[in-house]
Amino acid sequence: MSLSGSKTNLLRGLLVPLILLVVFLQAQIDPLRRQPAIEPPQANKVIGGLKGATLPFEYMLGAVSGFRQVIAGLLWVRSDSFFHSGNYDAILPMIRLITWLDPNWLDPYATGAWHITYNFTDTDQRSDRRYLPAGVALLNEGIQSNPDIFDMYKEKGWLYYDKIKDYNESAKALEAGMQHKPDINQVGHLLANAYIRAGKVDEAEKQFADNIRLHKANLADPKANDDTKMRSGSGLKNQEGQLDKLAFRKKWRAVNVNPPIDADLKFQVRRIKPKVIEITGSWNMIGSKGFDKDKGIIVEGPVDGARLDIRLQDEGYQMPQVADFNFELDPSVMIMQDSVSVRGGKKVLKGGLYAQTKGRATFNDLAADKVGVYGFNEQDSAGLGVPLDQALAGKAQISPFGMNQLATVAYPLPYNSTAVFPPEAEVPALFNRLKNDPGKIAELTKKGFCIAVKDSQVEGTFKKEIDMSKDPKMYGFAKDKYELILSFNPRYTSDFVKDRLGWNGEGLSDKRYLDTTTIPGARILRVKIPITKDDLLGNGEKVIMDSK
Amino acid sequence: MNAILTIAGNTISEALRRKVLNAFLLGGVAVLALTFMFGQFTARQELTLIRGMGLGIITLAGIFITVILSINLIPTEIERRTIYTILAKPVNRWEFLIGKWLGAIATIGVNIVLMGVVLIIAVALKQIGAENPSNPLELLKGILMIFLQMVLLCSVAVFFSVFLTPLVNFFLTLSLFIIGNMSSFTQDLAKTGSNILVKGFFTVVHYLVPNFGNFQFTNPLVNPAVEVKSELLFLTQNCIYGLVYSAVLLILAVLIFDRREV
Repeated sequence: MSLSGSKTNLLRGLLVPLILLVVFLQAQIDPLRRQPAIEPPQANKVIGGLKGATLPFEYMLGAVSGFRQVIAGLLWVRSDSFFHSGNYDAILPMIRLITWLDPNWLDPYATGAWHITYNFTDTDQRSDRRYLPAGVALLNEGIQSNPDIFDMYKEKGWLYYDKIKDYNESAKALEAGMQHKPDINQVGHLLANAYIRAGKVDEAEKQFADNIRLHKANLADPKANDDTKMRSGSGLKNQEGQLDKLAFRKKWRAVNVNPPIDADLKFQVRRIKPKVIEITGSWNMIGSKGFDKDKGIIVEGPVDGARLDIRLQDEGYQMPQVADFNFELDPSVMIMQDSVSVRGGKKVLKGGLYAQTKGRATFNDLAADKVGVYGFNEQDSAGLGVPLDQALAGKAQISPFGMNQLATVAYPLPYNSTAVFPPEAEVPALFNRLKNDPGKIAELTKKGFCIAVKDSQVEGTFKKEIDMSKDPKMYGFAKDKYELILSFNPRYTSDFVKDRLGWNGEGLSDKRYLDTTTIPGARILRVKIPITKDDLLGNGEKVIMDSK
Repeated sequence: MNAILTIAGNTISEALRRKVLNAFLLGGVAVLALTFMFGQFTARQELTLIRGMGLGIITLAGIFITVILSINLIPTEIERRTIYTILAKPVNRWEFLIGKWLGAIATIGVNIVLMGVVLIIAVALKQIGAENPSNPLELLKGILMIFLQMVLLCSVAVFFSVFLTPLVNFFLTLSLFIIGNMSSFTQDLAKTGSNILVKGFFTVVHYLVPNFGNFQFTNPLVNPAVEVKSELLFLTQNCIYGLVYSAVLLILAVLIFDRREV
């Protein structure tokens, strides 16, 4: 049966208002649909693509037909397989496309920035720092697309903290992250440490206190789940400990930085062969060997492990700020960054305890190390002192400090003790006990312990060979002029060094290389050595710079 | 009304007897199960992949089920000559058409709901013990949008099926689906076109071509941290849009089918 004429007309008449209603609805839907939360504007960029990052047609068709997330997911799975097969270059265009396709997906930004800034290295595992601006730009894109989520700020803060070592920028990113319902364990804790490394100790103290307050609030929140409470509980304990340490460090570092130590940095830069340089030198690096929270530094002396940063770069290079993430590198730019740690510094005063290493490379005795007993090799210890058994028999005088060292080495304090030496009143008794204990004396003498008959100090040394000949892509040597920068920033050295040098290097000095202008408020060691292309590429050995 | 429901019921029975639909359904469920293969990723990444892939698979399976079912609804009846038997009874042509459409929609709905349930269960299972889990039932919003998208797609295919062969209908419906998903581009071109003719053309395309892109609600479901403004209004307007546009297409189909010689 067909429709009657009137029904046909009715249906025809209905069409016009219904089509108008469709048009009206579309006009209402458009502004809501085009909001970034539903249709991120970046997604359309895949149509144009980028050099080296263009979707195959079928993927692009899928992406514009409502399958953005599927395509992004497939690319992510593929990126993962590229990562595991070591095909790192292939991941970069994937990251570009995925973050366009799904700009609200946080993991590609975080993993991508980590990958690009950490995983491209030379054969000696030195990162390709030309990628750092791209890593920052990728995280900035992540922040731009997800401004209300803390994760991207945290990642940016961590990149500046751990890799770029710009603690002011790190703190700035983390401060922003703190405004967006952050995980305190991740953002708040790192922010406090970024403040410390930026030299802002008072801000750090306030941040530790804020973190404690926020953890307590989480613990008191009846809506918080078990996981949150467990994390807040451990976070609270951690931050209370940190705040306590900060309080006594503030107190003692103000005192212990005096008098400033002359670092007496000496170095030589030598070309061994084309594109291979060697940096050697010595350095009077003093730190805390024994620290008591109620007394400050008890024993100080040369310490191992403080690192001298080495950076070879194009003359005048500054890390650029890049607006858009682009993984294409400028092959003419060259940056090499490494570091070398100082080792082997030793010191003993007349009447004090030291140990002969007797052919061993190092002397390992935790109790002895804690009280400033150093190992001296045969060359350094010639005529320095007498074996312990002979000293106790009267052949050398033992100083009061030496008695303290000896009592502690002979009868170590309990493992969990925070004291450096036994109580002062107990030392004479322990010393007498040792004198009447031939077995112990023989044991300590056999270990190489001696008493010094004069003062002696040997500066720590460093040596690093840097081979840039195996990685022509990273080290193109396209420019004619370079600069080699050697630097030491006490702000991010270990606490046992900072205990003596202070938060900002207040206890650091050097006749030639102290720099108080490059980093405002910090006293660092820094030397910039101009180097030419010929210096680096010439044949044969050549001393490029000798500080002597 | 009884005639419509009877025809719809028969359409469902026939559709479910067709193995091709079951194959798509099984395929969809199987691929959803594959989403458990992302174990090498962190829990958060895995959930993002499962949500995104899951909704994508439901959409893809939905498209194939809808198109293959809908383009054959009328032509098959004509080809088998069963339509003559039906129309010889006191059944209006429009009742036949609407009954077939309703039956197709119900079949598509059952398929999408089944796949949606699997996805929701998969996400719920993956979130056990997770920190700050999102509500897996939120995915229902996405499943509703996919269903409405398929209702509109079915209406388009049924409209074409009253005057086109299934092969032509297949390509035309799929093409329209792709163009309709690119409505953001047509809207941009309507605004930024080089002259008034181009602007006018794309304005007409944007407002009159069925706008399948309206129903893309995957982003906030895959990335639960993003906040959608006026979500309820947006979803409601889309529901009305899908139903009204389908009504327009069905009225056109009825008018054409009513005059067609079968």
